[in-house]
Amino acid sequence: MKYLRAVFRPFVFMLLACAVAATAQAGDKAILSVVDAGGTKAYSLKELDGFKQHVIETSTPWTETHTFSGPLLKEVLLKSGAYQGHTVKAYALNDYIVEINQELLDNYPVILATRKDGKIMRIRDKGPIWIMLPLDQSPELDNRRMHGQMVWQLNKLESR
Amino acid sequence: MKRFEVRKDYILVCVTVLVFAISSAFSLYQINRASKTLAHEYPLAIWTIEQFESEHLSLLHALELHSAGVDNRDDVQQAFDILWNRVTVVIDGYEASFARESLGAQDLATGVLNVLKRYDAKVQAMPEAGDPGLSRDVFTALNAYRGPIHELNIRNFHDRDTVYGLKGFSEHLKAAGVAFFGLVVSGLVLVFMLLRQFWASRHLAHHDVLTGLANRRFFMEQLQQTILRAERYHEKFAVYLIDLNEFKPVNDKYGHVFGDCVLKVFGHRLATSVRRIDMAARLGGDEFAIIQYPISNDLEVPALRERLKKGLSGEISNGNYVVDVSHSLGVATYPADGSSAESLLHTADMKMYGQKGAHKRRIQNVAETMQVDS
Repeated sequence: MKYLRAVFRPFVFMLLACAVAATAQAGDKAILSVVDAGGTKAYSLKELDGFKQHVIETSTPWTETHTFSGPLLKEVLLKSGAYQGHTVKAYALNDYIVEINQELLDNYPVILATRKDGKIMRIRDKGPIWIMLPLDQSPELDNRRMHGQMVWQLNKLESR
Repeated sequence: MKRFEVRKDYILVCVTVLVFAISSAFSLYQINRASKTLAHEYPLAIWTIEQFESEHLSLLHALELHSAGVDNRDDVQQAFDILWNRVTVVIDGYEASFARESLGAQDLATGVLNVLKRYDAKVQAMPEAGDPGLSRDVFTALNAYRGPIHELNIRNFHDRDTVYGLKGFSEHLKAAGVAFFGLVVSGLVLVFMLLRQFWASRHLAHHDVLTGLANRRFFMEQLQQTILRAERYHEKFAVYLIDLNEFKPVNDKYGHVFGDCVLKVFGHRLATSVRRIDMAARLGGDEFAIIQYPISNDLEVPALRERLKKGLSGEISNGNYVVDVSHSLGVATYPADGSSAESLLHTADMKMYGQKGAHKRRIQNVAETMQVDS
């Protein structure tokens, strides 16, 4: 038995190390780029987690009520020096593009949701970033035009 | 006749309001329904089904490259997940409700989702390159849906009249157009009636019903205005008060109907005796008034007095009775006799009663003379 443990221990350690490394790698991979006249700044999930996290508990036209969390879109733009002009263009992995009025960001806590109910969202679940509006808290946002601003699979913000 | 006209007016108002209400409600309903579909549901549905096809093709393309040996595992996995998300939207999302109901999008999307689920574990564990067999298998399984998804996309556009009921909507819009025409016509009729009523009310508020002359309220308003204007432009004007002599006995002897007839004829004579720019009014009972504005020389007052003497006198008859009317008159001029409405009316009143007293004395003298003669 002791012999078996001695043989498998290095494998267990190796597997653990690989898992940790894989997780770290996934967290370090850039998932969002913020582009403005000054250049491009890339953010990994870990870096986005470094912002103050905000929570929105709401239902959406595509989901039941869930808790979405992540940084404020406005804060990410401010930190990137890209909070200028009147609009910011949001791009998605599926080539969807929409312009978001910065007035919206001034008046409502619009977040870059990176987690749903505390769990990272896969692309198939509209992740890794989903622009989330507080629809239940601010019913005036719950309309088709605003639904179009809730970009899922977000990967780029552009402010020029 | 009058009663019939009032009833006709009521019927016209009721019908117009009814047409207006029905037209408004119908137009709003139809336009709202059509605009909702055209502005939101249809564009969203077109977008969703088009994305379904393009995201399906993107995955096929990535799989083709991978099976050809290109190191694009991340692209394959990303396209795989993007399609997965789209398929769930087609199956559940409000965007594709019409396509699900009419084009069988539900079955198609479910079939694609089943393929994705079948190969999910293998695709997630896919090596960066070197397993062309897997990508070929997934490609083959998904490629079977290429034609049906394309057909869905085409039908979603071509069959829009039936799928989204757009043909019906264009008919609804035509119907809304007819209703809108009714809305405009009935609205115009209502506005016309409202204006007519407004002018009638305004005229009633300012004029005496019996004679059609200005009433006391309007006369006093105009007098105040005339004083202000005369003061500003340093002009002169005259106020005349006229009272019918011996009118009460006419009423007592011949009745109020004939009395009203006398007042009406007298009012008409008064209106035609003054200039168009002057104002004639009935202050009440048998009391009348005139504002002669402006007067440029002192001869204008005696001239009008003379014109009135001729124009207002004479017999008045209704076919049964005849009376010979005369009047007493007092004149006050601005600013010689006063600079306020009260003082001008008081002066004119005094002068008129002075003349009335003289008239009464004259009558009495005539009566006494007749007695003595008999």
